[in-house]
Amino acid sequence: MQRGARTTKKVAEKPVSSLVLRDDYSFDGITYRVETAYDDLERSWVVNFFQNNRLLSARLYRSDALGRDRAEAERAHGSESSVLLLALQLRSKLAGVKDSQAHLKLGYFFFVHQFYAEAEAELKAALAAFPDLAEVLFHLGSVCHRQGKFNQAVACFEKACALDSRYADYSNALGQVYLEEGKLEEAEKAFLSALEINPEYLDARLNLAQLYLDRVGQEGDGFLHKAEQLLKESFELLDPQASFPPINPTIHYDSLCRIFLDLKAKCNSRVDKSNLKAWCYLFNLAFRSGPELLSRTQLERYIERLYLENQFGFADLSNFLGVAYLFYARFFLAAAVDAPEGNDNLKWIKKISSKHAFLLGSLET
Amino acid sequence: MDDRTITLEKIARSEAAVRPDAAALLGLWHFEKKEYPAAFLAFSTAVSSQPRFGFWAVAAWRSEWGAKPLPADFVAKAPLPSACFWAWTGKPDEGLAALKKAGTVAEKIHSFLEVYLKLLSLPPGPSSRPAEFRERLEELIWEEYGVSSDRTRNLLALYDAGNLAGVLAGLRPSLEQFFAVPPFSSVDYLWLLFLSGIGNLDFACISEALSELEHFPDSPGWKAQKAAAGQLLFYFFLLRAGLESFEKALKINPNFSKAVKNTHLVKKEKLELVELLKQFRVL
Repeated sequence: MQRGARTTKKVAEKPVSSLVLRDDYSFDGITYRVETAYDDLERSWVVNFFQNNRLLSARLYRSDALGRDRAEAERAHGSESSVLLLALQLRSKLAGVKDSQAHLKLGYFFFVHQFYAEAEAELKAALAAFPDLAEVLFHLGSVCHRQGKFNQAVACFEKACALDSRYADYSNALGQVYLEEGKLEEAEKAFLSALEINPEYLDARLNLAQLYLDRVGQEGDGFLHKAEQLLKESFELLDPQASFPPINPTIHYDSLCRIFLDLKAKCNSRVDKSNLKAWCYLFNLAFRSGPELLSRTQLERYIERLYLENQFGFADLSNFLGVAYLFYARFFLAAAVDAPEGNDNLKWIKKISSKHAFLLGSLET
Repeated sequence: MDDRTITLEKIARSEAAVRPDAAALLGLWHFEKKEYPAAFLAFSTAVSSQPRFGFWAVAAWRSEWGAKPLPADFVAKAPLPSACFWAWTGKPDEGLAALKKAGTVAEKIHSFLEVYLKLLSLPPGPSSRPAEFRERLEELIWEEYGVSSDRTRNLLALYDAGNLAGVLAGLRPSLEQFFAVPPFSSVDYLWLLFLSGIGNLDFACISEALSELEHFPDSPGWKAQKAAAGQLLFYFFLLRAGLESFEKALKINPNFSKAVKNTHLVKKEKLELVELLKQFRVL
């Protein structure tokens, strides 16, 4: 038996709350009788898990400490899946109970574990109790964003911004949805608003730089200089003592992308998913230099990394991974040319190669 | 019964089994398991695409039924392998009749069988031999064993001495070569999965199948052909993985225009690419 709220007979001796959850819960072939006093929820091991910020952050950042944190959490809580299982059971027990904090925590827990439908339901339950709680709206917006419910995400973030203008996170999140949607003017406005609230907000500054870098190809050099300015400011924010890296004027855009990536990598402890995004942009940069120049080993490295990060459910990462797979595939076609002559096999391989080359040329990165 | 056997049986019962290339692969599998009647039927289905499969069908037939005459419908659709079978059973008239049905095929096997069956039909003794026949025999033996090898000299000496049985015995290994059935490799198994769309084709199993090829004895071009098929399987896997990634991106964000375009493009091109891949002959 584990520690925490897994009380059995002794629970009756404690001051018992109005609601006691009793469950037979099986894991790894062992059945546990779990009794959780609802009022003791904050001390229960499920909520303890919610509060284990180190684990959650490790999951988000995929830091080197992930393995260690997970092992520690497993020692404390049985296993990750057992906690998830209990969280799902708790969810049904909490139905009808008006405790916005519990719903919010459970919702956030499901969000982190990509149980988006459950997360949405819990956060909506929290919102029903406190419709004007900006934090709930912010998390609900994030859940909707991940589910591709862009209109709902925008509505949540906009309301969160209107309700509580102290947090630049809300405007930044709004900007990110717009950026992904291709609504660049709205995205720019949101990022600028985030920077107005907090001029030192590095993630918003980098998102804005990213937006300008994305527009360079379409709308000229004005955006290139705006991006450069933002990157210089970000650089100074991160390290006021260091000098801005030199820019090669013949590959101005690529130089800026490289600086952008370095900055993203450097500030990954401050912004979530920044390291994932950095990989996207590194990949993008490599593609802009000419995907045919990427070596097989480079592609393998990208794929391995993108594949690992892809579990977090970012649309652009998935798209990059798809493109990487298809570029990687051409090396296997080239290897197949070693087939012995005869049977028209070489003719077919050449046809496939030419068709595949056309496909690669038409992909959107 | 292991997973592989269950999958193969599923494929054998599926519509894909009537494809000549799939039938030939299934034939190899049955042959390896010594299920010769099933192998014969499978190779017979495949013979329409490559006459070579007819020889494998004959190999399966004789493994099960020995010198029992081949079914007439098989003889009609595979005259050259049938002629080879008659040569093996020592029946030159049936063999020459089957060879006549095959027409003038510019294949090595055709000229070999012509000479072999003629030798079978000749009465023993030096008097009855047509003069021009020696030249054809000489040409064939040169091609098989070289111009000045001991074996060549020995066989021609046997012929000149009227020992036709000795010459036939010397040529027997060359005849046997036509009945040689290649092994059923893991690449063949995975190619069957690809052709049928049944079973799970993943990166690790393709790598494993290619490593396994090292354990097979090399025969001219066999390993290279299997290795090329393996590379194409990798290609197919990545093509599919690429599409799945785009679809995942779309699932997360249905309005993501880049993913919309890429999904549409790959879906459209994949159909044609897969059809082209299926044209590759793994056997």
